[in-house]
Amino acid sequence: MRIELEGVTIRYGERIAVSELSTSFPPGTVGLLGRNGAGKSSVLKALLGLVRPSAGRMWLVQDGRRQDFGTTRGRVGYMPERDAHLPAATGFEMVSLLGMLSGMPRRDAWRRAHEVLFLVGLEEQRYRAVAGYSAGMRQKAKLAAALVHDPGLLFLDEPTNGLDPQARADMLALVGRLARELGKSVVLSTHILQDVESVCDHVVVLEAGKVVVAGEVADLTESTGREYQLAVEPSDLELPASPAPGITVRREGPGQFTVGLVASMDTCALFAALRAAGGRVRSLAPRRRTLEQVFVTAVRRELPEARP
Amino acid sequence: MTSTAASSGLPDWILDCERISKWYGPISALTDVTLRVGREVVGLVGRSGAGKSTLMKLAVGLLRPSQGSIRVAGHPAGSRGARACSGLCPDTERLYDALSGVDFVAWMLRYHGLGHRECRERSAATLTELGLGEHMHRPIREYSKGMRQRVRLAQALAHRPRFALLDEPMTGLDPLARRELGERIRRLPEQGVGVLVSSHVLQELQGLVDRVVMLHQGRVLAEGTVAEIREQMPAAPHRVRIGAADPRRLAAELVHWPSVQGVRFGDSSVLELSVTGEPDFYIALTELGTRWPGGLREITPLDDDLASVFGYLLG
Amino acid sequence: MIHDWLKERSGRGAEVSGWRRSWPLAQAEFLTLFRSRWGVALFLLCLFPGLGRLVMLLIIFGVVNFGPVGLRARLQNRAEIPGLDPSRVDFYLEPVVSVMPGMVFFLLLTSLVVARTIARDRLANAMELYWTRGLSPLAYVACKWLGGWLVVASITVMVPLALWLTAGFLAEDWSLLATSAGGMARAAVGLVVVSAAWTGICLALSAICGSPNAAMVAWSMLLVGSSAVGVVLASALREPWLRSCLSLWEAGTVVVRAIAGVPQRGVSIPGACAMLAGCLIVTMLLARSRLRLEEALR
Repeated sequence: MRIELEGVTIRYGERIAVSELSTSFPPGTVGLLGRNGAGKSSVLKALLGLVRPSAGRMWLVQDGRRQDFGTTRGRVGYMPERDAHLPAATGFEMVSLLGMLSGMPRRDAWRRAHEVLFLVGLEEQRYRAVAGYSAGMRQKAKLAAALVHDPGLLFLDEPTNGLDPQARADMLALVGRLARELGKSVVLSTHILQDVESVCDHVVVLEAGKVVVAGEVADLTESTGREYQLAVEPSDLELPASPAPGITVRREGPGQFTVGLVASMDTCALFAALRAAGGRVRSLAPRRRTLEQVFVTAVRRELPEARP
Repeated sequence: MTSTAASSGLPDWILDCERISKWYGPISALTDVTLRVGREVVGLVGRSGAGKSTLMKLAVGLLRPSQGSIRVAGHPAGSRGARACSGLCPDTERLYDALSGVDFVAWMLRYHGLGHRECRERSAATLTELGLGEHMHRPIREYSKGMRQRVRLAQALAHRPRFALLDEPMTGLDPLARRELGERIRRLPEQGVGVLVSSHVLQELQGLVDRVVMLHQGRVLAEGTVAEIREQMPAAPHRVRIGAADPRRLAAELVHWPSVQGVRFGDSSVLELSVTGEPDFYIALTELGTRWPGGLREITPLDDDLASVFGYLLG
Repeated sequence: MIHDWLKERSGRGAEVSGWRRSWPLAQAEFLTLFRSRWGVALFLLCLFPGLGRLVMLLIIFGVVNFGPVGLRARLQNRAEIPGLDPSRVDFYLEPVVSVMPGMVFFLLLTSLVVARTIARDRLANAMELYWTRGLSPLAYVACKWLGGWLVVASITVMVPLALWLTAGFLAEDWSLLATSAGGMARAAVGLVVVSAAWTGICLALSAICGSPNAAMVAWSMLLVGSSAVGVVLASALREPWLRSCLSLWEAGTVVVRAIAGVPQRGVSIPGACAMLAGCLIVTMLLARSRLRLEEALR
């Protein structure tokens, strides 16, 4: 399942939130990134049918067929960012009622509500009132509600918001499972790039209503040639600037070095220099761009005024 | 425990919590917690309900400890002197929506006994420094989540406190703002400010702090730098990924080492080892690196970051 | 074989459409009252005026005989008063359209159930969950209205009808049912229309106000306050018809009586209709501007 946007423009009165956006959300887990006001939530609203784009088309491509997105809204599950629940409902009632409102017959909705509450790990609490749930449980209940009508496509808006470290790790593991084992397409809209790095295959970065970066996370953070990051112990160790021809060493901080290697060299001479200086290796890895660097470079390029 | 305050020969801690306990009736929230913050950034982590918010309220004097004493820059917590030199950035959503950003911060500053004109000037200066300069005269109700967060931070820092308590300061900020705020927090100790910061995003917090304090069920479970804490957990074997040419022969070599507990083949010519007894392992590995044909291309410890340590200790 | 039944789950099943899709929301809204002990107690409390009338019926028809000596004779002799004659429609309307006990119990029920519902949903951000799955704000309000009205109607419409049927079975022959059937049918229609209008105004206030408590207060002030204004102005200006035009409650009861065909004096039926319809339209328009789709996602 793949979503394609073609020249989508969204305007609120005079203000243009998204202008002629063309991109596609491939299957798997996609991170949708952008600063506040970059147009993320407008795209989300358009895909959920809450605003009508003033121009452009949205397509859902499945099994080689291209359908207009407007007719497929029942196959989209949405998990809102804000804390949201139905007052006076138990977890089971909330999830099953929302299933029925998505067009499921009562008995199917009841069965599925039990299934998804087990899936998210709320089986023990499903007959308790949602109003009394903890933040982590409410987040899970929202996810269950997004899953109940068995959508192929899931929008998760900041799913780890307000969760403690353990609950965050659980939620991210669950999101990864949804994509990997249940074959859902997941769009994850978040500000926490570490979450994107840990669960997303693809990433789309918006700025000022336009796509500035899109691609596979692995490609975007690909290592930048033969540059390595070296960490050594003890941390006050000094290494020669060029231990062997073709190897350059630059100190970055206590115990941290950047090593440049020409393509034909191996690392033996580096280790020899390290041993001669009386140190030991702690880690050595090809220098990769982090997603944060990708994001910051792409977004700063778009900003009208150069930031310090 | 290393700290800049101790190493520079100054005995005074900016925040000094000495064996504090707090009970709500019979319910214990904190038990015998000793926590000191010098001119450094200390991270406070723990699951929800571990006692973090109680500790923060105690540190700014909103609660009194049932036992023990808290001093902020030498003043007892809750006293006038302590209030004047501590700043709190709370994680609540509530602000006075009708005021403009600059008015709100100036108004909060008046509680520190500054004159009207000086309040306005400092408020404007702090907000400008935090990147809200062009929006600071608009009412807060029109602000986005990130802008509100900056206002909250500005009122915590505008009176130039010596101790800053930041509760989830990154909430709702976009990646660019997170990075800028992170850099700003990192620079606070240079200006003589001690910072206690809490966050649930451990990967992010790790890059921000000098050391961490882990709370669990009202007790300090661990404290120190991440590496220090990791080293004190010998029971959990380290996982190290090694990439080299000819991984099969490398595995055959490594499996005889006494420090290597197990070897697994990962994808595309990498090995995953479980290791006990560093630093011997790393000394031997350095030696191996000098003579391995083709060289070792990657040595990555997989579980020495804060998130893994947290998982091992509390999982 | 080990079954991983999460992966073996069946799909979503057939799709239902149209009103059957939104109906569960109305049903849930109706059932909410009966799910808590306090809700059931409140409902039973609101049945009290009807129970009073039932005891009166039992005494009049001689099924039971208690109280001071001659109570039965007094009740039977005063049959020329419309409100105490079981063969007339007034007898059954009285417990629900009178100021006391009718308005008091109606106010209790609506302010605690209907006036809170949308405001409470807003506080819990429930609209975000509803509107993002294809339920339009209009359908949402319609379902809430229907569910809330079912609660109100189970008192205001069902109690008079149940009393009337009881009286029919207690009477000596079927002539009581036969003669009052037409009037009762029209009265039921009137009660349906007016209780739906009142529920609608109450629901609209719930959508306008920011918090459940504010909505409760606003609704109580509107109902009681407009009654007070009506009484004071009508007696001050010596124009009794003003009461039916200024008081929301009086306007409703006048409309019910007019539809039921009960003769009334000193009232203005067009004025009452205008008051009721005007309030409904104004509050609904205000509510509409508060319940926009944009609010769901900020």
